Amino acid sequence: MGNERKIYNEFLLKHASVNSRRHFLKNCTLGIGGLALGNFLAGCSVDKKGLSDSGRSLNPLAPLPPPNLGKVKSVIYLHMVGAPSQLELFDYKPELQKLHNKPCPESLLKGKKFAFIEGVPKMLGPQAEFRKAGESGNWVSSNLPYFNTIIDEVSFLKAVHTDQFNHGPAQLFMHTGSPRLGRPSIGSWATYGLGSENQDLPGFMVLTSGGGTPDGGKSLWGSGFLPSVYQGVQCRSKGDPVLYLSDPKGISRDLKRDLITSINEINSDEYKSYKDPEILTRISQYEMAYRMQIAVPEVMNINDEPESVKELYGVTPGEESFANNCLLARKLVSKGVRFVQLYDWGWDSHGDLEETALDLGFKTKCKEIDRPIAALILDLKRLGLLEETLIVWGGEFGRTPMQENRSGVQNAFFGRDHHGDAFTMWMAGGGIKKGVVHGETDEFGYKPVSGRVSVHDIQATILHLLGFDHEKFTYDFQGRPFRLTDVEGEIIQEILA
Amino acid sequence: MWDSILTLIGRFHPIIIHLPIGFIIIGLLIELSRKKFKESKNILIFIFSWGTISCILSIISGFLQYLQEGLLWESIDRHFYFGILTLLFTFGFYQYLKGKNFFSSLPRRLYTVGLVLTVTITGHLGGQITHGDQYLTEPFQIMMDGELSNEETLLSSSNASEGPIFNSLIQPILNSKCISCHNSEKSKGGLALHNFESLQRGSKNGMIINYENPELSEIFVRIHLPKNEKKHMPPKSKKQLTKAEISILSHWINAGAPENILIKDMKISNELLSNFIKKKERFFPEIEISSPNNKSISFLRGKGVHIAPISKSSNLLYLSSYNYHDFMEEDIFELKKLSNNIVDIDLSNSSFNDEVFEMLSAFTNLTRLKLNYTSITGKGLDQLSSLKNLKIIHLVNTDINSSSIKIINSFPYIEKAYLFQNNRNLSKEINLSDEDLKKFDFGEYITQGLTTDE
Repeated sequence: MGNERKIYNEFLLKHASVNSRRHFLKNCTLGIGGLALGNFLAGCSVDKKGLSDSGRSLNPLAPLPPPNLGKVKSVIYLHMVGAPSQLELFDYKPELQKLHNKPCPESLLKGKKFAFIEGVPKMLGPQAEFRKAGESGNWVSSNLPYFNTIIDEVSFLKAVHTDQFNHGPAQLFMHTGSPRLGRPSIGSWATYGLGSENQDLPGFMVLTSGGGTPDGGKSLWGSGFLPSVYQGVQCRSKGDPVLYLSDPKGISRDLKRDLITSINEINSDEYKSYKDPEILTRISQYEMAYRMQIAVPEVMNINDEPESVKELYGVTPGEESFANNCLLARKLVSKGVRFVQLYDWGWDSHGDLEETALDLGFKTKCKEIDRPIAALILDLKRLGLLEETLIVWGGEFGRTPMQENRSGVQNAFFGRDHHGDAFTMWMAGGGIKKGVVHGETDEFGYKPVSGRVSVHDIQATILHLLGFDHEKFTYDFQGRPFRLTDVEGEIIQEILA
Repeated sequence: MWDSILTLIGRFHPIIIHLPIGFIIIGLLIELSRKKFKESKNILIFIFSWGTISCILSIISGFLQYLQEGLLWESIDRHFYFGILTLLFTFGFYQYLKGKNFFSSLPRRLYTVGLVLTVTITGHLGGQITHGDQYLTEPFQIMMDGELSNEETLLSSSNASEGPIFNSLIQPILNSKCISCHNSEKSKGGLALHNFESLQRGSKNGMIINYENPELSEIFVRIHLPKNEKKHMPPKSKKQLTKAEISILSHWINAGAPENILIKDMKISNELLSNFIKKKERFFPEIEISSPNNKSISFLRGKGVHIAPISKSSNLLYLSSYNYHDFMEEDIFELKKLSNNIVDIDLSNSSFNDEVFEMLSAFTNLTRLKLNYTSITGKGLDQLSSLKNLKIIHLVNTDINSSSIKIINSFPYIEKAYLFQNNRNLSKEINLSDEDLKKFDFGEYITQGLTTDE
């Protein structure tokens, strides 16, 4: 008896001593960590700003009114991946022609770093004829013969600058406001703030005209720290626009409906206990996919468009082409899609290959986009959509007035290196002045002389036209509010009507 | 020497005053729960004797500071008197606790309540001297100013360039971005910018405008410094001047910073000036209107119709029917209940025919109407002539004919009608004057390239 009691007491003591140590290590450290984590995670909660929860109940894409009266309902953003040369398109520099093939003046090279240029490169005159077009008499190059029909609709920004000179970071900067990964793209911000007016289609759609994904990757249309329901939906430009759209054999649409309904009920219960916005994303993606099965084939089908429309754009149904995508963009916008992002590949005109030569491959690229862009604007105009749609055109940076000399040796073809100090972008459509040029570069198109605008200024202007105050449109993440324009950005009033 | 020592003692005032505050507060806390202490009386006597001594030191140092630093008596008098009062209460309570004298005949609560009040008031008055008397209200002021400031810098469009440069253009900019720190009551760096005279007077370091070398003017340099520079104005954390505001200030300083020259004589480019002129009237009517019928909105939303205010705080509505086309009688019944609120309506691709015009004629504030891809022929379109706000009408790919165009042309406020038809050429069916033609877009565009490049 006595021994048993002893053993039992010893067990209790041992247990207590072990347990207290384990207890401390296990529970207390976890507990303390948990406390800290709780605090940390509070920053991730969306409940605080409550956009997704309050106005929207369980549908994160439910349309919301803009904070201010917006000028446009939709945006079509045409991005020329690789950075097109402003000096062969819009920024006419006759002085540069005079220096053609002469060594670059020392003053331009001092303290500058380039992606490829080394030593003293030669200057490269404009590889295109220029003409004044339209009533505005603005300059445009012979590479864009169709541009005259729309030049009076356009506001040029001729002194845009960026601080990135490599494609990936510069593209991210242009679309997410930060050269590093992790921020939501401008289309995600727009759909987060405004939702989708058409409940059968995503609010943010992305079309690429072949040639693969841009250098910046799919993060260019990613949702960053926003719930992933706001990321861009990429449609394939060839074959089925979205894979696996049609039901498998033997599965009826009713059966699918029942399946989705029950899955979503379970997910709703899950959301009620955990409040994770990603569950809402899942629910709405199932719903959206179900409705898209009908809506997408309809809207993405350009075969049934009238011949006159196909002729206008110069489309080639069944192929991957920028022209097809421009027509699709118009169709999507007229169905209430909020943000359509077009990427066109092949504008990195280094002159190291025939395809990237300013007098060869570059001219082909220009031909591919010239007519479709004119058609897009004219088509939007005659349908009365141009006054409610913003068109933005640009690349991630511009190109040097010097001819590229990779590793100090002049490239085989005429080409230019990356250049972020001054390049041209343009906007057209709702709320934009017609036929205006803002900003000016020096006689070589190298440095801004006046009207310098930043990437954040452009983003602030786009948000402004959609009805947002870019300084107040924030999302709380990791303990602080984030903005598309970070702490910068000023609306470019000079081009606003 | 002696003088410097007095100044030094005076400058210790902001530190010394925390001693009596601490003594008095700990004393009051012990007093509050004195039942917990066995010997509270002795402890309190000890605390309040030191409280009295530190009070006296505070008053002496404070008075020295007043004498040495050249402060105005009017600005510190109340602080001084309340300091004396605090001393009296502290000393009084000390005497009360020792007992058997005049002070112990008064109620104990008189001292405790008195001490709470005098310490609070004295401290607050002292704070006003060091931090300015708007120190506590300023955060709220900024909140209110922030909301208001934007509109004030704008000129009315009618006689924008008739006003004097300073009062019409410059002062409003200063008001919105500078005077929260540079005004008659609070003038950081001795600079006030609330009127022309104060601006001319400059700061404690002299004039801020250099008439001989305008670009070396202090104000010119400061606003042009990079934002991260310490001397950049406005400070990094405050609302910044816009590029246009910087340009206009620079232009004005370069022109010799005049007061009464008219804006039109200042040679300001129209492009720059346009930033400061109120944009012309809004597209949608600016009217006070009661909030829309929420039941009707929910009913229609339930069917898949998109209805939302045109902006967050507006009672005006935008309606579109991308996901719902076949409007039934009950839908129309609910639609009519929203007739005053809807200003922007898109019924494209819907089942509506010419009967829609009767319904729409009650939409008094309707500004933009879209009926693209519907089977309307234009019969009954004239019922819309009573709509005073109807500015834009879309009738793309419908069955309308040239007589409808004449009716639209007679609408008093119409600005644009989109009449593109895929298979026919409406413009050929009608003769309109060039002036009237501007209102119509028949959309007969073709893409045609120049042939110079081939």
